[in-house]
Amino acid sequence: MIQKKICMLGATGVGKTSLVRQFVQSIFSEKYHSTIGVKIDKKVISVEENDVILMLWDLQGEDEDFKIRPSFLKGASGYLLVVDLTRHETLVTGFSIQKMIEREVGEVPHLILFNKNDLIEDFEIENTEIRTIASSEKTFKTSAKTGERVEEAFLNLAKQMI
Amino acid sequence: MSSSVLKEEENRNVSDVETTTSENAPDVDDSNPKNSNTPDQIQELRRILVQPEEVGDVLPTAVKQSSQKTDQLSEATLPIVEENIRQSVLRNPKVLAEALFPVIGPAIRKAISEALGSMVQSLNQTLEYSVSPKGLRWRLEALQTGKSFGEIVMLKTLLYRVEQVFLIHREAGLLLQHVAANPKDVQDADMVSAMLTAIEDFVHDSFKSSDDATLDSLKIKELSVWIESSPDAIIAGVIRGNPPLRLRETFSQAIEEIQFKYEENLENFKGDSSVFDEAHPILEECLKFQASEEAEKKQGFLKPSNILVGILGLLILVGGFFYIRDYWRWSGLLERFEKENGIVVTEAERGWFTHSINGLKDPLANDPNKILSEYSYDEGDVEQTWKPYQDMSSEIVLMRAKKILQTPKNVQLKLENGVLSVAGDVSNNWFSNAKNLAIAIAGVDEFRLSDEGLQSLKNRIESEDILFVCNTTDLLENQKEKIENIRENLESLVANSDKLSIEIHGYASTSGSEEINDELSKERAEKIKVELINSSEKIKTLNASNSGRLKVIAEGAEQGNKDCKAKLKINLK
Repeated sequence: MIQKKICMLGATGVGKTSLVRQFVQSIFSEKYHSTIGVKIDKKVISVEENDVILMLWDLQGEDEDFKIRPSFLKGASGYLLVVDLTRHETLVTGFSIQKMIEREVGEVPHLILFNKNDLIEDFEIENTEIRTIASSEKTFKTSAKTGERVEEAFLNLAKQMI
Repeated sequence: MSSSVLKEEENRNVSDVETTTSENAPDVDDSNPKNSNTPDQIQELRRILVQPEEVGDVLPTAVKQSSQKTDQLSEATLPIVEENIRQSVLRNPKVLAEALFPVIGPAIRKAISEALGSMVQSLNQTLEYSVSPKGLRWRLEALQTGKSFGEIVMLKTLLYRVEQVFLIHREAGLLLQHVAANPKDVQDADMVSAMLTAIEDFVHDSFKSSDDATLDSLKIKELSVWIESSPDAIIAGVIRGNPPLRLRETFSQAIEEIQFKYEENLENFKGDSSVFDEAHPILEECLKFQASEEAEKKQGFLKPSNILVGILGLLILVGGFFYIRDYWRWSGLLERFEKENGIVVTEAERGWFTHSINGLKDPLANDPNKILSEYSYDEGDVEQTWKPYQDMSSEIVLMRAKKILQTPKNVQLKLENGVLSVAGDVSNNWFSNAKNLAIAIAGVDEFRLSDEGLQSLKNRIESEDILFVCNTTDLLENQKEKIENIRENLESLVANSDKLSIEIHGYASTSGSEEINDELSKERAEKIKVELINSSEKIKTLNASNSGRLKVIAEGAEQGNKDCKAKLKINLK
């Protein structure tokens, strides 16, 4: 079976962990985020009848106090950049993270996930913005609460990486 | 000179170069067909070959492409490279030394630190196990459980087992291979590998060690994770117990081997780990365990526990020896006392340091202390309590008799079956006194003259010649004394002998007629008889009895006895 390392990136509180919680195998608890800065999860996905093991490096969210460690990105085959639809600043953070990845890792398959799609009243990111981004990037609107399009996103990324 | 040589080589090499240059050289005109050999084209080729820059442009690309296709170029250049190195070292070692220096330093440091670490570890262990409380506790446990000290050490410390080995791709943290001693430990190995890599990165980043430093080990109580790295891969072993530092060599050798064999695969790793299945045996080699490492007997014979046991044993032996010796001594002493006349032991106690004896002792018995000393006992060793009593054994009674009767010097007493017999120079006086006292002595039933005594009395009496004036019955002077003596002795005899019979023989000298002599001898004997009867009641009584025990015999003038005398003959039976 093929193994691929994927990083979950994004600002704090965008919902990275919630997104994956329903869909992954976990043996490590949340505390690893704050102690080491990363929590490893595993997701097995079937791509064209082949099983692919996605090793998810769920990185601690970035904010003013904490910048993501570049060393955790080593060897990644792809990443998921998560943005919180209800907080615009998370988009800005997301972009800076993306820049950093391009610097450290290079061009790798990735998706941008616009999360918290269920909180319609609190949206801060305009659809227009999303569409602009979607023209050059692969994007998905997801909801960790409902599970909307999460599996799809993983499958899409996996296909890109094979 | 050199240029002409070059030209010659060029000519030779033209055909070789032709194909290459036409494919690879960017400067060559593509329109030139390969096979035409016009002088212009040859000139052109010459021009290219002569100019090193052209070759220089071509060469790197050529080499790169060649090495991508085959190993031939590297095989071909290998001897050249070796020769280059050799030449470089011969000419100036500094050059290579400086170049290699960055490599040598870390290599040496690593080797030294591991060697030292190994040494220290074993020294530590030796010290620890000999004098530390833990070591002593283990010795006690060894004594209690009956196992040898070495066994306990082995059980407690040197049991180790490599339970799992992970082979991890260094960059991505992805699991390449996993082996485990217990098949059920295999789950989630991939997540563990990734987390391990994350931790390594974390430690490296947070604690700012030098760039090439990697996490060596994690340790919790009896569980350790040892990590050895190569440029592209990491081997992590999970070990339970206390492994020796030597185990690290096993791991580092394994990872070096894997790095060497699978270098390309590692560099081009895209997630498919199946190619590393072949590395399984190398990893399984690392699943070492050892039950007994240093179970050799430390300190050999002179272990403290041995010494202690030896001393104890010695004490016991010595104590035992003394105890037994004293036991025999004591028994001997008591036996002795048993045999001793005049001493009766009623109670004997053998204590640890002093003994005691209670008993009865006749005042005439031997001093017990003398007996004690025979058996090497001092007076102080044995407490003695003696009550006085009268012993009835012959020896003691005899002693008693001697004392009480105040036996004179030439008198011997003998005691047999309660009969105290006297022998020797017995005076009548003493004898009669003694007779009265003797009966009162406990143990004396009878007191009389011994047969010897009787015999000697008899001899004394019989030896006396009572002399007469010849031809008369008159005694010579001084004969009265003799008769007195005879009377005394006779009395003693009579008192002691029931079956006594006395014959008084009279004799005469040959002068005169036979008739007269017979008559004379008879009268002489009669005279003595009368004398005796008159002077002694006992003799009178003897005579009065009707057994004819006092006889008179006239010998006349017998041959050999022709003298004017009388003699007595006594029959004791």
